[in-house]
Order: sequence, then C-alpha cells, then structure tokens
Amino acid sequence: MKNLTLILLLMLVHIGTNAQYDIGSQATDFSLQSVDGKKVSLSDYADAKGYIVIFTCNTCPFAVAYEDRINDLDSKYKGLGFPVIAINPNDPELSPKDNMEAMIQRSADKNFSFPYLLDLGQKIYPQYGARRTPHVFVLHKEEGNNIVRYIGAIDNNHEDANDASERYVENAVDALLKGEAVKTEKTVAIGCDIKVKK
Amino acid sequence: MRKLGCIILFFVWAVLGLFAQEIRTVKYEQMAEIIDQKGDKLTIVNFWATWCIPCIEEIPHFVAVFNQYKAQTNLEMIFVSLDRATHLKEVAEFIKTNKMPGEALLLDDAKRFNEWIPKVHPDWEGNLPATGFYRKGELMEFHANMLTEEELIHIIDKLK
Repeated sequence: MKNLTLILLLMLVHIGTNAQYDIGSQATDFSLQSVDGKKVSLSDYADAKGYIVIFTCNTCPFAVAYEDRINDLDSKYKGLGFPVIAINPNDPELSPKDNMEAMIQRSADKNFSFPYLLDLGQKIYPQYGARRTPHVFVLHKEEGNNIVRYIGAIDNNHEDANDASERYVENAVDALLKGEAVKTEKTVAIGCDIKVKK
Repeated sequence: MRKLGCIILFFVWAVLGLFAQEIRTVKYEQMAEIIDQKGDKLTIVNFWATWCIPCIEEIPHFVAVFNQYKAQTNLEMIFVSLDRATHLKEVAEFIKTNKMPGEALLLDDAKRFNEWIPKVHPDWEGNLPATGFYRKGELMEFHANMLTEEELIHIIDKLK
C-alpha cells in the first residue's frame, strides 16, 4: 500500500513537470538573466496590467522574421501596461548562436526595446509548454495572479507583416485592455522546435 | 554533330523535366487529396524545411528506411516542405542532392497555418519535424518530433 502511494505520488510529480499552460492557467514567475546582465522577473513590473511573454531565439528564420514586429509590440503596449518579455529557450551548447553573447549582439543590432532573457537550464519553457520559436503567451494580471489569456502566434503571416490579416497578439491585448474576453485564445503556426539538452 | 547536339539537348531537357516534376507547390486541400490518392498503401508524410536542423538530420533515416522497405511493404513517401515558395529552387536542389525518394510537395499555405495545422493533427503546435502515417487518407499515427531509423521501422512494422 505504501509502495502504491509512493508510485502514485511519483506519477503526480511526473505529470506536474510535464504540465503546460492552457487558457486560464496561472503562470509562474521566473528570474532569468537578460542581455544587460540583470535578472528579470515578472514581479519587477509592479505597474504592469499583464505581459507579452515571447519564447524566441536568434537562429530560427521564423523568429528572425518576427523581430521587428516584436519590437513594435513592445513600443505599442509597454506604455499601456503590457510589456514584452522575450525568452530564448534554446540550449546554448546545442545552438551556440543562441548563447548569451550572441543574444547581446542580436539585441544591440536590432535595438530590442524589451528584455531578452536566456532560459539557462531550460526550466521555464517546459512549465509554459512552449513548443517552438516564436511562441507567445499573453498573461493578464487578475487579482494579483498572472493568468494565461492567449497562446500562439503573433499574426497569420510570418513572411510579410503588412499582409497579415489577423494580428492575434494585438487583438488579445486590445481586448484585455478593454476588459473584454479574448476572441481567439489559441492559435498554431509553423516554427522551429526548441533545442533541448538531453 | 547536329544530331549530337539534339541528343544532348534532349538529355538536358529530360533531366530538367524530371527535376521540375520532383516538387509541386500546393495548398492544404491539394496535399490532402494527394495523400488520399495513395489509397491502400501505407503513406509516410514528413513535414520538413531546409531551415529546420533536426529535419535535415532526420531525412537520411527516411531515405534509408523507405528504400529498404518500399518493395516488401507497399510503402509511399511524401516529403512536404514548409519552406517559402520563393525558395522552391533551393528546396528542389536539396531534394536532388539528398536523393530524397517518393513525392515532394511545397506546402505554400502560410497564411492559413491556424486552419490546416489542427486539421493535420489537433495537438500539433506546428513544430518541425513532424510525420504522419496514412492509409486510405486516414491518419493512423502522428509524431511531432524527430524519428530514429529504429522508431520508423517499428512504426512501419506495426502499421503495415
């Protein structure tokens, strides 16, 4: 009986580590190093109404195609209370062009206005359930908790920002700012697999 | 001399012709129809892209296993590239260099990702590589991750 309890407990732990967020989940905070050398957490932004958390990287062509749009999202929504927080989930040993040095360079070259963090040790992205880059999680502060309100792509045209007919992240944040429900809560898109250390 | 010229021209034309036939640009519905047309045959559909490093690592597994199993198990292989349509030439070049067998498609349907990705499999997030195993147009098994030769052989043995 004792053994069975232990097995059940272990199974629960196992499920726990594989959990991924769905709409309505409470997102965890983190403390990850950014390109300016400082550690960044969600709780650093006391006045934020929410966050646009984007798992992205230097090396994926889809992520690169979205860099300017991620900058635009930050300039548009930071002042409104929804700052962009970018997290690179790739293992820097497996993908050396995704190491901190390369991130610092990329951030400077592209004038990133947002913090660009490295998920060193790859502990955070599995909790969110990010599967590819770029992969967006819009969080909304509700009674002190960060609740997941959108999961998916930035828009529906990675090739040409001007030709996107659905701007999913903007629509989600606009709705939250107006106190309305997000219409499209989940989307999928092609992207690069996250490079995971085995 | 002119004859020789004609023969050389014919060969160039034939090779170019074959080359051009090797990859077709399609929308989701056309891809689904091509899969349907394979009928009773076990059809492996691999979603890949030239920019996707794990895809490139995985492709030799498909080439080896398909070439080894196609005769005895009545297999079909379709490689579906998710590269940009403007990169068709590079994709065709890659297919040729790597002697990728079967049929090759370039799925040029980026604006409708959110429509067709869940139709392929409801749990697929769009991460590459991904592979579906079909028979009579029905998806029998789906893997949104890299497959080893052993895993591929195991799946084929199970579904054949």
